[in-house]
Amino acid sequence: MKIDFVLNEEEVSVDVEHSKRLLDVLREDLHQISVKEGCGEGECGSCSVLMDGRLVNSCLIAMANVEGCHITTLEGYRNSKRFEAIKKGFEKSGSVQCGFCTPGFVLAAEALLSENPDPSAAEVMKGIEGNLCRCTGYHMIVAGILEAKEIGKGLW
Amino acid sequence: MSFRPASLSEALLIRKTNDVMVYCGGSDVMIKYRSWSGTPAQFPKDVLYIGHLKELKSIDVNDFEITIGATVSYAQFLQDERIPIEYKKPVEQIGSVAIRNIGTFSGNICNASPAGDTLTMLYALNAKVIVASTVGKREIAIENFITGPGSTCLKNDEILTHIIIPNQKFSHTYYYKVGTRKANAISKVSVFAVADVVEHRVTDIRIAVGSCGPTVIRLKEAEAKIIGSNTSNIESMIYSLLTMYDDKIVPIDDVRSTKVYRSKVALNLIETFLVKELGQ
Ligand SMILES: Cc1cc2nc3c(=O)[nH]c(=O)nc-3n(C[C@H](O)[C@H](O)[C@H](O)COP(=O)(O)OP(=O)(O)OC[C@H]3O[C@@H](n4cnc5c(N)ncnc54)[C@H](O)[C@@H]3O)c2cc1C
Ligand code: FES
Ligand code: FES
Repeated sequence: MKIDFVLNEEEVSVDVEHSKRLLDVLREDLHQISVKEGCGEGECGSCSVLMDGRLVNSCLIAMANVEGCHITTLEGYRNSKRFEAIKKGFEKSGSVQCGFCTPGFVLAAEALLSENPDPSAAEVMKGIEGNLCRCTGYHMIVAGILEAKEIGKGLW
Repeated sequence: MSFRPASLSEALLIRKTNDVMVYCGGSDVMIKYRSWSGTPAQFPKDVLYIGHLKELKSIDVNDFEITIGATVSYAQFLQDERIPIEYKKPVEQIGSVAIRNIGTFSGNICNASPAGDTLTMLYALNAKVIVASTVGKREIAIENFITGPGSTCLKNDEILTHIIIPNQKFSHTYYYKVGTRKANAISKVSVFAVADVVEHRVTDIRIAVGSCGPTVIRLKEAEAKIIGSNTSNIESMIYSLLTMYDDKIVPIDDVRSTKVYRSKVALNLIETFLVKELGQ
């Protein structure tokens, strides 16, 4: 099945099986290796991408559903000012240890801040509820996002 | 093979002439038919994708009914300011942000899991579904539509197009879900209940219990016993009421929980609603 969509602001076209997961197309066909497979069943958020601006797990999306959509991965998002703010916030708070979960948390933070630019700690926690991290214990990630919202004031 | 129709009528035609599986948000079917890491999902049949259909992506609200299109995501429902916040409670706790961006009521209903988290609310609110085929529509009460765990009376040529919730105000609404962790947890037990109390007299009550039997449980005999009672009398009736529920609650042991735990929690939740919430 031929599927046309927009990846990080660029039009792309792939010819793949309709039930192939967006996760695999991004990693294998389009070299978006920031997108990680953790659980493969919607529970860890390490495969998070933005689909038309909304956070989704790419392991749960069959390619037929991607036709005409805008997909953003960290490879595209990292060129934005907003990413700079999140990066600084994460650096300052020690939000990254092994880094496997980080692309997912960054995009979850973007999805949260674009809906609510001034979240409380509890709202941050709710925003990252679908992302698992085996290293940090979450406090540092929550702190990183709270830091990022201050550093990036006005960007969201 | 797969189909990605441009309209509902085209989708119904495909459904009539092909043996296909419907794919709405995909959050259940992508897990159910997942294969080895790195390989496409192995669906048992050809697939009819409907999640993109715009004509089913709206919510209509009037004084009598809330009508939810089949492709409306949980996120869209939660963002709609016309929906009473009490009805958002079960939906807010489903999955995670990312799951709520793709999951739908229609998928939850057609999946017909006794742990489906929209179902207790839909049973308690006397919701109906509309299913359509090329020959016409049927309107079916939710408790008749779901016939058992994982089964519904949807015919092979039909698509669920809308969910209708009567738009009624209640003096009391209650929802409680017990899971293993806050996000992405399948319910061990859940209760959605509503009641109308006018001058201390119960004029309407409905209690729906999830994950405690083959389908969601609602005991109309017990509800009938409570209707007409004064709220101060409920405590004296509680033992016989809970016995009625205990007889009908038939949970299973599974990886998520045990029978004994589930029954106990369900009865505690019902008691909390009847005594603490209504008694006040
Ligand atoms: C990580 C994770 C967490 C989850 N958490 C919860 C939770 O907390 N609570 C909960 O209840 N569920 C949960 N789920 C399950 C799932 O997200 C929900 O059941 C969701 O509502 C399914 O909707 P969907 O559109 O994605 O369904 P799909 O996967 O597209 O479809 C589900 C079933 O319904 C059929 N179907 C769908 N739409 C129609 C239609 N319009 N007409 C006819 N048939 C149709 C499909 O053929 C399929 O059999 C979770 C799933 C995952 C992966
Ligand atoms: S790999 Fe997709 S959510 Fe875990
Ligand atoms: S930093 Fe290692 S999993 Fe999160």
